[in-house]
Amino acid sequence: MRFKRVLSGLMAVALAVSMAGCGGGNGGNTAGGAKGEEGTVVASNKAAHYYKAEYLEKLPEEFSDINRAFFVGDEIVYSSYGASYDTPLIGRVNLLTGESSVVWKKEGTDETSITGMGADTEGNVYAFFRISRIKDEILEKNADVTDEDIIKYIYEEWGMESYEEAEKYWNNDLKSSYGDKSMAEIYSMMTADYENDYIREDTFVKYDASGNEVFKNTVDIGADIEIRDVKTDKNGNILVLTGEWIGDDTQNYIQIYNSDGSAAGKVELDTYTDKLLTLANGDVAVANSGETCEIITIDAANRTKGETKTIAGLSYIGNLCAFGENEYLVNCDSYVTRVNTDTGEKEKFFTWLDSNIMSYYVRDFGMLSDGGIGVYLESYGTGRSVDLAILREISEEEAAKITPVNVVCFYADQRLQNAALEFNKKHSDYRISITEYYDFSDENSDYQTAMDSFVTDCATDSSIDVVSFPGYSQMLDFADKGLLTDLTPYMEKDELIKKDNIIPGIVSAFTFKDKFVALPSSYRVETLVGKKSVVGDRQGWTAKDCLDAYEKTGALVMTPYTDRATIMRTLISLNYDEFIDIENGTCNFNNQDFQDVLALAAKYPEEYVYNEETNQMDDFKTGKQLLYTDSLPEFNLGQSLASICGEDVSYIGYPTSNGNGAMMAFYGMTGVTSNCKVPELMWDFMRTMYLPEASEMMYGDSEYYNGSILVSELDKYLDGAKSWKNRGEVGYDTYNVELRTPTDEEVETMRTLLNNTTAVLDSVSTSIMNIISEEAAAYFSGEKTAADVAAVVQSRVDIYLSETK
Amino acid sequence: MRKFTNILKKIKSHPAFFLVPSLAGMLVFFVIPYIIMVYYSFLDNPIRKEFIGFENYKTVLTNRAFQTAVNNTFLFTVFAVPMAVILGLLLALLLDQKIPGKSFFRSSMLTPLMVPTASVVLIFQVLFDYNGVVNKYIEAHGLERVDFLKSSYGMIVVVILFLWKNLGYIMVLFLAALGNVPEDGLEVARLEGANVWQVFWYVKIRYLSPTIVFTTMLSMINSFKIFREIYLLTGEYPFGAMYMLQHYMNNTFASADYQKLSTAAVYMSLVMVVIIGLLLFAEYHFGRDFEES
Repeated sequence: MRFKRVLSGLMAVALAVSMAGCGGGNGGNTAGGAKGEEGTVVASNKAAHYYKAEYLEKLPEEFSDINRAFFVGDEIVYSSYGASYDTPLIGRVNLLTGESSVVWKKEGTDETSITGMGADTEGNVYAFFRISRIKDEILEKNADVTDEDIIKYIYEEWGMESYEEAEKYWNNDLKSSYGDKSMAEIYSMMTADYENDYIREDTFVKYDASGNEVFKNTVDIGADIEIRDVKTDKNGNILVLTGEWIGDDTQNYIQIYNSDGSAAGKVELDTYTDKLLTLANGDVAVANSGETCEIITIDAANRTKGETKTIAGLSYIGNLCAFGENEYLVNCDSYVTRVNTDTGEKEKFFTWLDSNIMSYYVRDFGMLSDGGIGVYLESYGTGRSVDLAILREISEEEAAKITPVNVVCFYADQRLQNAALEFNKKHSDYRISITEYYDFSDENSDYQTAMDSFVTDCATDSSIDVVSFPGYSQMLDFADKGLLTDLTPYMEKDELIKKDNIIPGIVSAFTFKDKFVALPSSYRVETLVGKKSVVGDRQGWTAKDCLDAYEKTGALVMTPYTDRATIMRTLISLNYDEFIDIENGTCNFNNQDFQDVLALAAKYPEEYVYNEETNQMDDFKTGKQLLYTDSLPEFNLGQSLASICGEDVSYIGYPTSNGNGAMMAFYGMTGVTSNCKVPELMWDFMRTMYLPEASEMMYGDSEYYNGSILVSELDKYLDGAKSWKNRGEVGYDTYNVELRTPTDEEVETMRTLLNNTTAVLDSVSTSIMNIISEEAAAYFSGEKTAADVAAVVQSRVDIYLSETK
Repeated sequence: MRKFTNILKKIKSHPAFFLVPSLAGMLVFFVIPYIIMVYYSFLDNPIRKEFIGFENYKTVLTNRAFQTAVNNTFLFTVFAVPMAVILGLLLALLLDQKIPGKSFFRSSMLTPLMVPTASVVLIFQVLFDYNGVVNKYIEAHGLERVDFLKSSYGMIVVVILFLWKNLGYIMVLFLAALGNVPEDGLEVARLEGANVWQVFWYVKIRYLSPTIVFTTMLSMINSFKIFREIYLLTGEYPFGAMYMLQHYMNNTFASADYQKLSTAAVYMSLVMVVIIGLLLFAEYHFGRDFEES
């Protein structure tokens, strides 16, 4: 009886468990939810530690124009080019005391240059200097050289088109750059062979912690050797990391010197590395990012590689520093991970952004004796600037006092990070935390899994405040689901980032169901240029026009550097409005235009195979290729094509049944979620990305457009183009073209083109493109007619679109 | 120990207590998820979670994809299920006769059940692809090829696949039921001059009615599962004629449209309850009628 009870009890439990098995199943594929599985990307922004950056306010004047800088103990030791690249120096700054000193500085007319430097944990600094000058006999040989000789040399050897051009270049630009050097010296410098015609004197010098010279030895390190780092091991051996470029390849060595600076041998390394690492036990090692990431100890005594320890899970090793016995902190772009080579443990240690640091600017970091982390930062943009910061750990409780604002993205670009950093500096009660779904440093990163997780989380996680979309079609999908806030009210209050001041094509691209749902941080326009005498000047050819041109001339219409799939994607994107109506969930592929698109795409190879003999510019000039891809709003290519062909060119655009054939490519499309509790604050964060300062930070003030989406910035750029002077030369394949100031007419043509561009690159979702590519294959292989394929595409895409309504 | 004995005594006096694990399982894995699903069907989206009444029900009902899916699923069920039941019954009647190789046919009819779905799909791809065996045959006879899997003919392929896969076990169920028809009843009917048709219609079919209801229910459930084969044959977005309700649900799940998915699932469960209710009602009436007679 008792047995029966137990049996029935067990059966009941078994039934429940079996039902659990039923409940867990699903008939289809999973959308995301794969977090934490092996081989997936875990989009967790939670780091084990929280740090806060304290920037060093007073940096020594010499700490600028940095060439190399290394953290050694509490100090950063650096070499500088000096202002105007003519006063190189080596200096040191103690991050904890703020003390600084100059170890060596070039004085007077001395020809000495620094070829490499490093420091050890004792505070000693090691430097390699070189004095190089042209041999006297070469100078004597060239003693009678005149301006004409130099111009002739430039004309003949530097590929100038005419003697006059070379003369102009010499007199206007080059001559002044040589200062007060004699003609003999200049000519000798131009013609001399660095290996044979120069006298090189290399010295290896050691300075102690007080800056006193300990030894100074003459060494021969070879003409093309670069010295990347110097460290000493626990036995006093000096290890010098060197490399020699031979063509595209590099040979890497560690040169070993005895403690007195005398050469003792070398160890060959397998891959490029630019930093030596002093381990906790005093050994010196290198980090190797080959097939596997490894820390290789150098056995200086035996002139060989010692113990090798693998770091699992990393696809490459960025910068790193020793953290403890067998432990390292490795910079993984947006965050720092702690790895233990003995246990294989790996944890996300802290994120740069949470510490108020722009990860893009981090050049080196190291542990300080008081537990802080020293960080050396370099930023570019309007000018190069350097910073030093100390990261101090704060408790989780302290970090939790600040309200987190969650921004998710596939990969945080510089503008997004900068905007978050600016926001965090400005708001003490809120902190933007960026979650990235794709981790380039993780060798297990899988794009599709990351994308699935991204899509699912964005659609279901109510804690997300801002989304930065990796693609335009994804942004449209989210807008269609009503998951994005209308930005119009915030833009109406904004004095600069308002609808009237945003490029019209962008306004139309990001207005969905009368709501302004997102904004890109930057944009570009792509179009096709043709010779006016051949293609005329009617913008927006149709696919049929291209096919006719192809039949008539036999010329390839568009770029040869592409394949069928890319052309299909481009053509469908351009004709998006004609083929797809996402707002109403309908499509129209059952027409001649789509069949023409198929026919045009069929002219391209299934897979593009690079052919180094292809000279696109020659093909364009001779008429083998009708249209050339141009990226706007720069003027360079249009001018160059006209100059090379000797005739006017016109912007024809990609084949489309409507519009001007140009299309916009967007970057960093960002929107506020409909669930965001602080939309106004988020607009404050977002708008930072669109400010002129943000664009300048990326590109500086140059003739290259900074991608700003503001009409005022575009107008400033275009109007400024009218006064560009001395633009220099550009090279295309075998052609060099002298750029000129754009004419008023060219500028206005460009402005009109940009203001009338409405098509968006990659506007079609991957699912639709997959359907089209899948069905088009039958047409490309000749099994089905274009009409049959169009009918099937129509049916399948219609299902896809109607499902979303 | 004493405490444990007391508990056992209590359990003994309430035998329903043994149902608790089972009920808990049902509750956790079926009832609660169903309630959550119904809750989601009244929300605007999983992020904002605003109550929007029957808006999702209206949206889903007017959605073209959903309508296509319902239409296709209904058509498929209406044709495939009766065909499976009738053909299964006919096969069973045939194999119930004294014919040579009866056991071989009986077991060979069950082999499709043993073939994995992926293999079945592969076989049907080889047969019905645009470059498949059937089209080669059609072409050899001077006719134009048919894109079976990407045209309205797709439904025919799916019905054939469904029948091929399910006829065997339906037949076995009917064979078992036929074996249970009392021989004396048949004997009496024959003695009273009933012909073969009358014996079948007035006697056998009455005894088979519970099996007919059961196989119909089973076939209906299986007809909803045909999505798996279609999915493997044609992917998540097939030609319109092959787009089933499960496609709609699977795709809305993949695109995280949980509110639409929930609404469609509620609709589907309601329809299933009605259909199964009707079948049970019919079975009850048939059975009672027969028992009374």
